Amino acid sequence: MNCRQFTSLIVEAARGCLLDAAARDGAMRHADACGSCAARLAQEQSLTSALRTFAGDMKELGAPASVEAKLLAAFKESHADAQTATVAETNDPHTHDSLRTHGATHAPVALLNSAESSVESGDELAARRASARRRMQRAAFMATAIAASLALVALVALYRQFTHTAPSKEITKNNAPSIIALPIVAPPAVAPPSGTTTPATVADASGASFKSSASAGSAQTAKHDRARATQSDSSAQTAQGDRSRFTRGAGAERASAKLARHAAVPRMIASRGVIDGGHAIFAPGEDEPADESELAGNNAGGAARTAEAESMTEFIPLVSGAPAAPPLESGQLVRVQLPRAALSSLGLPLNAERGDEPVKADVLLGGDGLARAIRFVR
Amino acid sequence: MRASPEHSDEELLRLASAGDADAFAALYRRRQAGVYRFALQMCGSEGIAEDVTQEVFMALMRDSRLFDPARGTLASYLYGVARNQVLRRLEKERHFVAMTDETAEDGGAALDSTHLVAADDPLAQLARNELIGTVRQAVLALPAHYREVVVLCELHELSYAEAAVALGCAVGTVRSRLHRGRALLVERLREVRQQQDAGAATDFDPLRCFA
Repeated sequence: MNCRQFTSLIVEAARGCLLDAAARDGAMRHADACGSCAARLAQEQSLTSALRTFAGDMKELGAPASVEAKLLAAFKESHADAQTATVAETNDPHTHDSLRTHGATHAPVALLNSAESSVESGDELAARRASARRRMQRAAFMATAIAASLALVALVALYRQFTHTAPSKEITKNNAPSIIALPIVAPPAVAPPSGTTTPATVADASGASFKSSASAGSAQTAKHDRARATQSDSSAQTAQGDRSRFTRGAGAERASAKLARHAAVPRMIASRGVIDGGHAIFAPGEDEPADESELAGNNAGGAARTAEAESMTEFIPLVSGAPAAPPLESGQLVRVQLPRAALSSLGLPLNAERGDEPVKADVLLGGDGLARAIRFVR
Repeated sequence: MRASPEHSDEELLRLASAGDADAFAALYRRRQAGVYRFALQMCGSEGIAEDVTQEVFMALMRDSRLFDPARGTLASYLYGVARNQVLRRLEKERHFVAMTDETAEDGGAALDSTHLVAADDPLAQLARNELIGTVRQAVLALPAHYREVVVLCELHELSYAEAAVALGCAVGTVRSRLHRGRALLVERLREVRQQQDAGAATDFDPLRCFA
């Protein structure tokens, strides 16, 4: 035997494995003759001894008892569940059918019946029953959760259907929930205009109370837009033939939009104010009605007749003297007659030929009694 | 039929599959130590070894049909499952760096409670503990594919064929890996011994000797 052959057997020789007797004798003879191979054999034997010492040191080690307890508990539970399920399926076919036909809500009852029908004695049976009850509780919980989810979905669907359909019906019937209908307030005696902000005489009183959270615009920008409002007045006059509803011409729309950027409240009133049977109706949260036909429906009775006979300018804010005026929360709309010279005081063009004729106007009085805006009526 | 120590592993497994808790308990008590020690020697962590042991027997409980007696013994099968679990955990924890462990620095077994018991020959016990710690570190330092062969064949005394079944490789592969693993161990132990000798020589300070 040479060193190469010895190397192939050295591990088995050092470990004491069973070897062919001839090979073993040959290896021993080679180790006696070869010093390096003898040294290697000694190293391998030393390693084997060290490894066995190490293995012997750990021979008594084992998994803690808690692992065994967990495994045995899991084993009992899994087999109890499996056996309960088997009993439920084999001993009570009706239960199996009911699980299929009546849904998950019947599962707990069926499992309970089947579990109780297989009455046995002993600790294992008690454990199985406990496991079965846990399963039934889980199944009942799941069934309840599914039923609650379905009910919730149904309620949400009904709610959405109700909320989407109800407003449109109400609006067409002129009783939309978001529209506030307030009784007409008797027009107070308004003092004659002094300067540019106060109405003169009360000639035609058809005022109305209202609510709004908007604030008045700035006086400078409002003054800048008065000329356009006058132009819209003229365009509105040409549209007198179409006054079956509360509407304005295109010029009035543009003037209204321009004015609304600086005075939101007058624009809102001009666009949304509807007189219906002695009530002023506003939609505080909306700028424009969804459909003009809706407003046409709103203009029944005296309001429609009034609108047919009149054309109005946009509201002109009267807040130049009170830059820090409080927000307009409530107020009154008062119909007054003013000397035609009031037009010029507001920067509007004045027809000198009709200078002695009064002009109708609606004055918006705030809750504090201050005139906030004015519009002229023809 | 009640489980008894005379039953073979396969019989106990069959009884356990039928729901016999005693058979399962007997099988567990017979095989848990080997699985636990294998996991501990492979990864060096008692926590991982416990988890691996639990997982191995849970897998056996879930689906015992995966064990094929024609391919090898149940012990080999359990070692194979444990080996897969250990390698999976080692791969998972490969990205973590272990905190400094004083017991590991001292050779691992220095503070083991079993070694605090006074021995008849304290010096021999100390040398033995030192040897065991050195071997443990050397085994844990081996690459995994060499380590598992060394652990199974040397520490658990499995035959090449049983180890081949557990590791899912050929007998020749087991043999060659064992040769290579042992060579690495010899080299490692020699290095450790040289370091210890050099350290002992450095630590010796004649000026401190007042004798």
